[in-house]
Amino acid sequence: MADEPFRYHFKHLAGRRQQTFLAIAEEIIPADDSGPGGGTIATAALADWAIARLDPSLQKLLMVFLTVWEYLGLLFGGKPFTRLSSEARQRQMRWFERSPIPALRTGFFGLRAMALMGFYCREDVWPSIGYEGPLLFDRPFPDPEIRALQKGKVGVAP
Amino acid sequence: MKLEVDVAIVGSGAGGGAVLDRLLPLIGQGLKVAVLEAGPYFTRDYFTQREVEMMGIFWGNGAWPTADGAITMMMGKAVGGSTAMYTGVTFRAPDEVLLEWGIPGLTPEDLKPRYEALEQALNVHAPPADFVNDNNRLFKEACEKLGWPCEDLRLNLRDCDQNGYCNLGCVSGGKQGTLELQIPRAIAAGVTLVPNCTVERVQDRTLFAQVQPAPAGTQPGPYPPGPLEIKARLIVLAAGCPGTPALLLRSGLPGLCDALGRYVTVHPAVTGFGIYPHPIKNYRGFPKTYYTPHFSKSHGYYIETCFYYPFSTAKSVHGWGPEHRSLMRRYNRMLSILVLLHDPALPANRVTLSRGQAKLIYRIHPDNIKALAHAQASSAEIFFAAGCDSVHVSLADQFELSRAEAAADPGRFIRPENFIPGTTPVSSAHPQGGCRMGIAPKTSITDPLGRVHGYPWLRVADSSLFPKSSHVNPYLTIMALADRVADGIFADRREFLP
Ligand SMILES: Cc1cc2nc3c(=O)[nH]c(=O)nc-3n(C[C@H](O)[C@H](O)[C@H](O)COP(=O)(O)OP(=O)(O)OC[C@H]3O[C@@H](n4cnc5c(N)ncnc54)[C@H](O)[C@@H]3O)c2cc1C
Repeated sequence: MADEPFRYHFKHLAGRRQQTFLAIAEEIIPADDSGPGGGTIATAALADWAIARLDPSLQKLLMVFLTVWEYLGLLFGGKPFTRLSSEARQRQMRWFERSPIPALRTGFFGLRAMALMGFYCREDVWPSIGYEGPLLFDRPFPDPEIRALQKGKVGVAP
Repeated sequence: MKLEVDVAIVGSGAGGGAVLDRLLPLIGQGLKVAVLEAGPYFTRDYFTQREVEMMGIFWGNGAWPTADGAITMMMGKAVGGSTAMYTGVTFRAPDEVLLEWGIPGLTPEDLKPRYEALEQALNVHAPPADFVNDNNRLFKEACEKLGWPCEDLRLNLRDCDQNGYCNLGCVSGGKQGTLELQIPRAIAAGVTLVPNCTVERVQDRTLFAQVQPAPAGTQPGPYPPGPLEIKARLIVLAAGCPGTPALLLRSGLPGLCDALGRYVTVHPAVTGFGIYPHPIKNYRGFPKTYYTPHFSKSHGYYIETCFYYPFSTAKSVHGWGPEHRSLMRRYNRMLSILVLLHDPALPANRVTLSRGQAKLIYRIHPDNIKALAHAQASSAEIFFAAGCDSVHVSLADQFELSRAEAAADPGRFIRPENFIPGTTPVSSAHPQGGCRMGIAPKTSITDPLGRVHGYPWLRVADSSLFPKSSHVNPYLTIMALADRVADGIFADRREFLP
């Protein structure tokens, strides 16, 4: 059925990591009067599809980084990142962005890229930025999964 | 599987395509040629104009950072190499660049007829008036107001439909890259093209490669997945930078000097944005038609027009949070320009190997960061002169500089100290060097005709030959150098060819 969400099976951004990713994505792209923010399953699913195609060493780094990120929240508000207030989360992100440790800066840049990809590659987001989409909108792609994910209606497959 | 040919070319991009074209007449006389390409064979109908779907046409699926993560490198992994998704902006290397390179025989006079012939073959011309979308028109008007020279970016197009998606693969075939020109000609002439074939090592006129399965929707090659050994009388490495230096490093050929992999330059590129008072839809139309060379000699950069799709734009916008989202909501009012920095060729900037795979160690030079701050101030001047209400550049003290506060002197708000490696978005689509040509085997990898020192059967014909930065967009010069390499092959023909 056209209105049914597409059921996606997460390969990398699952469990706790998914929660951390969603919390980061919501701070990177916060909700506003044009619509919901980046912290949705639709963003995470598209990012997960892209992560699954990265070099395995980068995949691993991103996943380790998400775990580190979650627990470094303890230093910024005494709790893991997902349980921090939005202010404390932003404090942590600003610190990461300017961290003296290059790996933390680039890890953040990588996650930022994934969140932005997961959000701005979605057809349902395009009207809010005034983008009319590809001229060849309906040209098929060999992988139907990614085309379905771009529609922005996604549920989690068991 | 084993294959035996007269000439094997590794890589099918700008350099590989140019050599291939020169060899075509010999194929009629019985020369056997194979082209081994790591990337898949995508044809026009594969390109969907969607960023996430087109990740796979780039190395690392578009995520190939320098070792310190500070620069996102963009290189094509496809039949056609990076010409499959380049913009087709065509420059000749300025005379002063060739002079600075100081390679005997590589003079403006030597290159001139090659450039002319290539430009004719690729239908290079100034953009016609109906090619100019608002982003480009406003850039030109702004430069004129400021009294800065604004020049045409010459383009290699034929029947271009100006759909604006050049960097996700050309759907009309208007762009005259290797995928459209040299490859079909070569296949028709009987050249063996092996896509999805990564060459791992070269040794004693033999290439050791691995063939991968063809991804869905791409043209299959002639060999099944698995190891492939290719014997050839002559081997031409055109795997680009970092591809060719990495392949030579993996091969460990004795006698090559310590310059191997080193002196890489990348033209660090940074995008800036202006917000126009009303919608202008710059994502439609040809993305690049003008540039200003005004600051090239004095400050070491070019400013070119550019325009990208939503995700690439979002990634180039600095920062995150409400400001980022608010700027992106004005995507259809954005003007954008690209700063390309002239970077120094330093031995520390180099291709190395990490578990056998290429890795690029590169640090942005402090002088380039200063130049970038100057370039962003110049960009802001252009945006304000074009009528923009505000400007977003990554080295500004504030996320957005408004016309009221900054138009009179944007430079006051833009400082090199705001550059943070790994946080300030920087990209590169022009890696060069790593197998620099020269005379002395102690300081260079090949001679001026791309012959690898000590290995007469091995040639290099790609961007890795550049001894220093070309400053300008490089593809035409890569092809002109590859044409010289072909001269060398013809000169030595009796030794290697039937
Ligand atoms: C998005 C984008 C836009 C650009 N726009 C312009 C422009 O407008 N004007 C301009 O002048 N330049 C532009 N460039 C740069 C230009 O395309 C490149 O500089 C040029 O194509 C490099 O030529 P090359 O032959 O050295 O390498 P490439 O064209 O990159 O070809 C190298 C090929 O070798 C293959 N390869 C690598 N390693 C191996 C291996 N081990 N085994 C087998 N194959 C291998 C690669 O997959 C690749 O296909 C652009 C590049 C990009 C990515």
